[in-house]
Amino acid sequence: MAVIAAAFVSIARPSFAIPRFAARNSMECIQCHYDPTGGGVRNRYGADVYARTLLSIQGSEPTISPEGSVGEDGWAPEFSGMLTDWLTLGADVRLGYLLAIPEHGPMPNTDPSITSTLFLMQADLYHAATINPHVNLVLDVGVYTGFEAWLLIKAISAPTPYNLMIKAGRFKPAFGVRESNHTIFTRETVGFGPMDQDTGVELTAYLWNLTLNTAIVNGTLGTSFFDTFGTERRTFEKAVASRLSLRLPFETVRLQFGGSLYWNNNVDRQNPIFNPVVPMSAMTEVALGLDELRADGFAMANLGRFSYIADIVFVRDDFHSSMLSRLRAYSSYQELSFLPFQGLDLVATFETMNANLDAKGFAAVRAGFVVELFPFAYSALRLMIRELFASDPNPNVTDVVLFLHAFL
Amino acid sequence: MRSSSLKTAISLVFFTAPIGPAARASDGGPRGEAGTGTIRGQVSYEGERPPVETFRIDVDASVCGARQRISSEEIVVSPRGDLANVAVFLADAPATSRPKQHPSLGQRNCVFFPHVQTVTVGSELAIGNGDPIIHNVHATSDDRTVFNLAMPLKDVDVKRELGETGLITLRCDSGHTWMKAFIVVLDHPFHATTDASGAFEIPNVPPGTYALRAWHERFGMLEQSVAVKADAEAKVSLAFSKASLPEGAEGESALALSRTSVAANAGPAATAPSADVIALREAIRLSRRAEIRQRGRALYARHCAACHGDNGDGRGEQAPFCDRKPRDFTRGEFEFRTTSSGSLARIDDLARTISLGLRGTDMPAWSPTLGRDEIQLLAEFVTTFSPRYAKLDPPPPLNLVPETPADPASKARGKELYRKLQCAQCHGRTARGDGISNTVAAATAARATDIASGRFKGGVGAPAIFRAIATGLSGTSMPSFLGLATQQDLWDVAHYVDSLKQPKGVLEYLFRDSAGRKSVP
Repeated sequence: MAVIAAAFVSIARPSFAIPRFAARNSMECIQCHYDPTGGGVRNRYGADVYARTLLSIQGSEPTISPEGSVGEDGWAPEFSGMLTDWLTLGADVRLGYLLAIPEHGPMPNTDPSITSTLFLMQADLYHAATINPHVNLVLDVGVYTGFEAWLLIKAISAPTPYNLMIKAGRFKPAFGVRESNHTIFTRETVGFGPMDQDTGVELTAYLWNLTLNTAIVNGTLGTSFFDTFGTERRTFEKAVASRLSLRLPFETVRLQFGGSLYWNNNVDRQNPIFNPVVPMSAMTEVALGLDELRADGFAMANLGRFSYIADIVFVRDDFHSSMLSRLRAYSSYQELSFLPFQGLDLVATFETMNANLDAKGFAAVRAGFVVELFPFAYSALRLMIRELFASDPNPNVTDVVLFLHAFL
Repeated sequence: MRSSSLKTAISLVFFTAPIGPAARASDGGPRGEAGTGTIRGQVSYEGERPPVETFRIDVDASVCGARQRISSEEIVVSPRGDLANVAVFLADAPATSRPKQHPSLGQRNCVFFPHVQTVTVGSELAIGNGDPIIHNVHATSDDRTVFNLAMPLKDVDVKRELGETGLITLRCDSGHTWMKAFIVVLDHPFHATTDASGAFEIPNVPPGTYALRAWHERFGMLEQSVAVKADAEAKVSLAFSKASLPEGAEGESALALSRTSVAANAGPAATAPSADVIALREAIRLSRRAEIRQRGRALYARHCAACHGDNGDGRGEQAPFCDRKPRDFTRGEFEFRTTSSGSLARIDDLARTISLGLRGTDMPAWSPTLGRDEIQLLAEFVTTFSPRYAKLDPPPPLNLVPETPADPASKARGKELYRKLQCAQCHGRTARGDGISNTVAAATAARATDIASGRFKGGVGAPAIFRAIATGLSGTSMPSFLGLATQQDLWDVAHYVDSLKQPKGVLEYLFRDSAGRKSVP
């Protein structure tokens, strides 16, 4: 039971961004979020324009005829998270319902009384203050994720296609495609889980359609609430995360390409992904340190009602201990979505993971299908069905999860 | 003599001189009235003559292109230095009556004539087209449309009152990118334009000492003091030179500095309210103002400012990411109106646009998420950004006739009118927005709509098309056709145009829709 609970908790973590919106619109994350790398508190365009008018079914249907007189009463009058000119509140609350199928669950033939459950997947409260046109202060308090707190300094406050921004504080370093479902193979499986905040400084440069994020952080992501330990200085003992993307928004086809690098010189403790190469008897060897490298390449494309996202991540971990062998692995994620009409997304996903990333040494393929409905502004209903095909002799695993999502 | 150091100060009073009496050298007004004097002068250009720019004629060559290349009229200097096309006027004219003139603007062989003229405000400009092709007279002041008239018919004149002072720039949006002319509209009659010999004459000037200004589109402005005595002639000589060019700005751009003082003037069709109407309006405004400022401002900040900017100047943080620049509300210029070309839009017009959005653009429809009161407040608040709305009421809506039956006969008549009115010049023979004018860079023009795609951002169906044809779309190349044909004719054109809309196929649905990223896909 503890194992299943742990599995639930593994799913019951927050998700932060929906990259297919960026793919569909060839948008930058900062168009809808305060954070240049996406996710978290939405800005006034994201919350009060995009979410109200371009996302939901109801937002797509004018309530007056084209030549009619102005207006029926709207359904969502003046409420907004923008409390004042300088203070904005936001929130994400997701409730999940996991349908456990005993013969297709992660632990088949276990306690049959645990069949299905409701769980709180995410509960985050956001605060964003505009100190002046150049400076934003953001605080995110989450039930599961602890907190993020950072300030963002913009070199140019006026709207320009080029800008330079510095983010300082505790945040999630930019890497790859930050898909809303953090359990995908290209996120959690390679060490970028939902609690991947770290403390440091990040520089973001916009040069028309080119965006570069580069951060120096402690490299202790996900291992500590305040991630301030690890001070036995041996070498650099910091992590560098960098992400480069290029948007090509042609009239018909909208493309986005990019790549990321994450190099961490400050890892000295066990990580679940080391399991394939670090036997239990050699756990202490990890404390000697390692060079952890993640590299990815991603692509996004939009054509009409179709959007496509692909991300492939390579892992290279070199342990300082000669007793431990190197870890070389990769995982990939692909997503094809179709928008029959505004407010309904049909998404097919396909993931691969090679054996070196699996604790038991099994390669895996996972296919999924998601139906996401946005009936009203600030709300979503999501049904996800995934099937895991592993080289493991155990039965395939089926995930059936229904999410209710409210956001602001 | 030159006024470069006083440029700003001069510009502020350029078009705001006191009202003056009737007289003008070039239009046959009364001359030599007893007790008045005449200013007679000569304008020249000193120094090496600048090269004359020429343009390649790549549109309507059969009419415009006998010369293959056409010379700019920007600088017309005789061998001995006489400078033509200089507007000369008093900067501090005395108060007097303003008799209306009868100015005209012709178009022949794809050239406007005269190239520069001065006109007393309130005069009616007769615009003619001597060419058998469509011209599109797009008049702008301070980059805002004053009027935009289609001139598809040869030898058919259209008249427009010049109801506001300022510098009007005229261009043709029908692909004749070289066509350009200027009208300097003044609130007194003491003005003239130099002829080919650089000479000018301003008669009937009351005795006194005045600041006389000379403006040239390339060389900028000069100022000279002139003393006028009764029943005498005051001789003046002004000379432009390369050195007289204002720093960093040449003629037209130098004048742009002056237009801030006149930017708030009404459109030509705006009605100047009487004092009691102003008082009543002010009383109503006072009661409404607080609500507009509080709720309207809050609504605007939440839902509009991200694109249109906190100051309404179209420079919100999302603006760099929009396919088209968001509307700059400070200009007080709106495409979709029920008022005449170049006029202010009514609050109802703005509310309709806010409610329905602009199809296929980043402007979403707000009626699903905001109520009638909120949209009305937003429309009113939007007008507060423009000084034009602070001073004048929008004119009443045009008296447009109800839709006529959209039967096959109407569409057939519309097809013939589509040809006769030369709509294809911009929209193309197949209405895909691929007319010859769209293949030529038109400086002030947005691309003509691809009608066949059905993506008309102004609305749906024949009524929206009819309104666009009748009113024109301010700030774009789309002129008003009202007056060139009956409204029934325009309905026929709208029916025909609407019938060109091709049904959306499966492939277009799947691969061409901008679903989820544009308003009302």
